[in-house]
Amino acid sequence: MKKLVFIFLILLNSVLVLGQQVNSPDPKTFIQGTVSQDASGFSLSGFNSTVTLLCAIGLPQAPTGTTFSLTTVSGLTPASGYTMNGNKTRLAFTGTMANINAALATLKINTTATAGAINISVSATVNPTGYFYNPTNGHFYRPISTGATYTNARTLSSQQTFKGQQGYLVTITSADEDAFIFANVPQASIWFALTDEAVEGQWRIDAGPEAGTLIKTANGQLNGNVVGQYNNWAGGEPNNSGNEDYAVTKWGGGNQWNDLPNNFSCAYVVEFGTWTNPDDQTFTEFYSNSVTHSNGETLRLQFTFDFGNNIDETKFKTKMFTYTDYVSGPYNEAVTGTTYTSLNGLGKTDKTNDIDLVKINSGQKATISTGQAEFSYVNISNNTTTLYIDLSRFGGVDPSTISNVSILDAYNGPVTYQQTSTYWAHYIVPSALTKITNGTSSFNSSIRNAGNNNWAFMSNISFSQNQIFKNHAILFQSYNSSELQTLLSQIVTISDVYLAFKEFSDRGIFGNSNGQYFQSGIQFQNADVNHDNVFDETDCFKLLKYLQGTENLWESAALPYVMKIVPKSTYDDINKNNWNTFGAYEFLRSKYPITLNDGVLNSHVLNVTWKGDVNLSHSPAQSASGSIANQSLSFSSVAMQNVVNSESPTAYIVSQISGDVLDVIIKFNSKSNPIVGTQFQVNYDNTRIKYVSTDFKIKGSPSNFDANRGSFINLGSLVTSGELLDPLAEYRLTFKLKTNLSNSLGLISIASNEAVNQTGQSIKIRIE
Amino acid sequence: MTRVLLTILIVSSLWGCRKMEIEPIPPSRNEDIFSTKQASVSDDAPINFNLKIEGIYTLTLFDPVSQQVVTRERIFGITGNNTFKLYTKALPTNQVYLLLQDENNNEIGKTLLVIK
Repeated sequence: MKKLVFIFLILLNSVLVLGQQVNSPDPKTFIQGTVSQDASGFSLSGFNSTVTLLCAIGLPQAPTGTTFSLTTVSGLTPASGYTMNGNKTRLAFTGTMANINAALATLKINTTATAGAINISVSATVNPTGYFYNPTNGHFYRPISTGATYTNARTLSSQQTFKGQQGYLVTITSADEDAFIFANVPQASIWFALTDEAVEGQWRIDAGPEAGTLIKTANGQLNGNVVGQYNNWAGGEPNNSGNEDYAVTKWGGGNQWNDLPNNFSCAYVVEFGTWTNPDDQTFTEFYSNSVTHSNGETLRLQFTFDFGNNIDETKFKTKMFTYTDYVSGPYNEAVTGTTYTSLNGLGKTDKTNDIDLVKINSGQKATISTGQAEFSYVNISNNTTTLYIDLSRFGGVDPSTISNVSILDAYNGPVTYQQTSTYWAHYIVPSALTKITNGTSSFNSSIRNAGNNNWAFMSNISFSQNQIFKNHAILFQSYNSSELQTLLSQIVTISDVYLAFKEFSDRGIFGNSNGQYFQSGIQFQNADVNHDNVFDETDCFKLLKYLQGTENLWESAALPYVMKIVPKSTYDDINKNNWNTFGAYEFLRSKYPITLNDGVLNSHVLNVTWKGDVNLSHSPAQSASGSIANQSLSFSSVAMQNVVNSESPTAYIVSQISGDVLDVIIKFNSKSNPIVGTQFQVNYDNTRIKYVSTDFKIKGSPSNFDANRGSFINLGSLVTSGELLDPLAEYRLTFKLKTNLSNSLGLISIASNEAVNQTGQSIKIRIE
Repeated sequence: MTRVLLTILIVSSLWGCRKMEIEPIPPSRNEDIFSTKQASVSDDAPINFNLKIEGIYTLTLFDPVSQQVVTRERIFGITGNNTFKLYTKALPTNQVYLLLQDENNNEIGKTLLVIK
């Protein structure tokens, strides 16, 4: 019972402390040219309920004219430059989580007649004073009212950091951004990063991600404005009157630009963020999510890959392939003209433009159109829709070859042939046919509610060769091998190995207990590293040998052998009892096959996990679909404590060159934490030095390891006997210099580190 | 009245900008690294600094965001100019603070290095 309470407390703690997030709805299809359509489904969770939050809503991608509004705005304060009421393309405001959620529940979309994708992005963070957030590009802006010369403003901007991002003097690349600065910065004449100091009249962006971009080739308001670049000069400007090489916006309080000399003291704005899509933001302690709806029904293909925490989704590139035989290959063909593109910061990618539109024959299609007699009807009951077609209508067509039907304006898609009875052919339709049942079909006069859940159609039936899209698959591009090696060394660490041993040793002397330390079926899946559908000591020692560098964990250090792609619904259903029923290699792949349906959104939500990621440190948590009773819990049981503080374990590193040897000493201090294992990734410059050995100055008999991975050493110790690790463990590494390198710095570094405590929790070490 | 309003408008328009002295620009990279607040460096770059007293010092690189030490080298510094080579291939970040301390951990100099 105590253990259950303990687990519950860990769960509660995980939710309360680590669960800050923005939740997004599933994609949907809006009606074109219609106002006030429901776009609810976004919500914030995990934030402190009493703290004031900054929330931003934006439409980074939508047909021109698309807007949104909030019906309920109680308790919310618009950010500077905004009002809460009316139709918007972006909005930032502050309020408590409860008030923000009440507003998000009333989010409405106003569409135009133009079909296309409508991307809605919602972001939230604890309200930072003095910073303004632009929800359209996902950047923060900090106005500085203290005057400075242009060059000082540029330097001072670059020295600022905010939420993990380096600042730069604001760049203005669109009318939208110009208007944002105008609305949010009270001062007049504001420096921004644009200069012609190199060549008079050649105006180039001077900071940020667009640095060096030429936007104007001659002085004068409209002279030499580069097509496609944003210019907004005041009349007669720039004129270089008195050697003016730098630009201000909001010139004289107006909304246009002027050129000024450096020695003017003007206010300026520091910009943070280098991305163009808010989804790609990487601010720390900043949470965002988005959904791409559709305005009107069109064929679309979207993927969302959930990598959980600690993985940079943008490092992964994907491409669409078609295939005729998924299992045996090698029949994959890259879709012509497509290239690998990166996932965005939320693991999303839209592959609509990468679909092979050439269709292939597949069975017959029955088209039900309006006619003079009831030659077809449907029965909709018990969540099943069955279509009946009069056998007399088939002519020479075999009813069992029908694989697709079109039913008036209510459905157009695949069906499953069931049987033929005396007068009818039966098909299962994967749709509730709401247009039939709610009276919204344009052919309502041809539809009769025949009672007993039957709807009959005055119809003609025609048959044609059915065509379908080829089978498609999304494939991840092979990862850079050295980067993958580094990533894998971060995924499978001392915490995973310790947790595996802990779980295994807790199963009782005959292995007939369930254990206490794995709280998710996925953990068993990932810990079964020899793929025999049994988690046992063989797996534990295989993990340990990988850590020690004496055995490979993977057949090959390439994505198809390490990466697992699992449909989210399946992932959430895996528990302690069924994890080994999916097949040993079921999810191990870097290619995921799909079938495409025309005229609809094809949306795939897929979770990515990794062989050996026992503690799920780099995998998504399971959703709360399971319970303690069915042993599929809703959290990653071993949440990593990423934040270092004064109570964290520490390590002191120092190196020194003596002759042709570089000595490195790492002095660990547990600071009274019950540490059982340590791990350090020590990078080294393998072009200049060569690793020799490590001397472990540690009391007791831990398993020490120093695996040389070519450009880094995986180094540490692990105690699996139940004892604690020497709290003052010391590691002395020796490298040999390849050339004379006296007076040097940077030949080695600590790239990452980790300690694991007795409960299996991974803890960051503070490097001093 | 119109002239008064026009005058006020012009004065208020120009209020945002007023002339001031130009501040000194950062020294070049060949000078003492600690005479600048920020410097761009690449692999194998020379790092110069001056010491008043000969003795044991440490050069520490630490991450400006996480404040975690990345590496630390114990060196013997000589009076006057000291030149060290910075190697960047093994560094995990592209921005680091360089900190020079004496044997008693007193800070002698500190600058931000942006690695190209």
